[in-house]
Amino acid sequence: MLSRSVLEVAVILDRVEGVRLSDKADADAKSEYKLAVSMSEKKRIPGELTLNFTLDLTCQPQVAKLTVAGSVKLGGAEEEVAEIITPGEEKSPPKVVETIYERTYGLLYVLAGGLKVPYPKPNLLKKRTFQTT
Amino acid sequence: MIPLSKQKQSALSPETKKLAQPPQEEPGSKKKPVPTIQGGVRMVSGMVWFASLADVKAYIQGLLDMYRSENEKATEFVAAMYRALAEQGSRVTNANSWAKIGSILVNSEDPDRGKMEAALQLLTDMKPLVARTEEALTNFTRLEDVPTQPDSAFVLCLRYGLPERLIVEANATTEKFSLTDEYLAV
Repeated sequence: MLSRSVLEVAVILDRVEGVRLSDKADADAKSEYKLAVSMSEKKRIPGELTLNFTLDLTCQPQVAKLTVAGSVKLGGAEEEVAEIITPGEEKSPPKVVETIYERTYGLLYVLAGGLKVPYPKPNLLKKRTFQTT
Repeated sequence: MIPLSKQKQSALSPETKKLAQPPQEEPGSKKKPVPTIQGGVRMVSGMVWFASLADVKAYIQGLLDMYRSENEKATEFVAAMYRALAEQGSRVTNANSWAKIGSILVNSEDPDRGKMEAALQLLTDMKPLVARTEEALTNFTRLEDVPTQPDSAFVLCLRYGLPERLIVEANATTEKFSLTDEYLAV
């Protein structure tokens, strides 16, 4: 068993949904997306942790809702896995959330384009931090 | 005056001197590409925690697959080496091309044969490892009959890569990861 020096992250999608909630939705309109993240442990074996996740993106004002759900498999040393699921600095989400969002962003972008609703932006910030500034 | 390289050579032990000499090529012999082998397993000694017996079984199955794969790799390598050596024709080689430097045997005279000898040794080591891991997996159904609490944790003790003991820890609190939060896409 050779040791793995790099953490492996595999994102597998089970569900992709996009809903246009209003006829007034305009792809070019200025808007922002709120992302609700829900994650839970599915399976844990030595050197591997599998998490179920759901990312719900809701456009503000509410003209669209995009959802991706699936599982993410993290393979590597225990410390590396613990590090990626631990929330980062005050403003940043855990690395695993950022990675899932990065990997699914292209799909969300295409989905938004197809629905003719505003495009979500690529970076994530913790909501409460954003509200206080 | 003795050249520096010769001075250095004279200070070497007989074994090291033997290694310092480049292998002598037979006149007219054509060097053919020889098979290579790369890999290896780390024979883990330690304790591994699991949340269920099914996970323990899957882990042992993973070990077995890995050992079988290494065994197969070594078998294929030895067979390929035999074929390659046969194609090159029987060469007269020094029966003992190994020199012992401290606790390590070093071969710089006949690397092909050296690799083959090492692969044969690997085969000898892997066979009992495969057999005993297979045995552990075959008898796993008997372990599954052992009554356990639903919230038990299992500690598998490995010794040189072999599953040797299983400790069942009842009422073990296993912390599960979960996250619910909100962010803004910016």
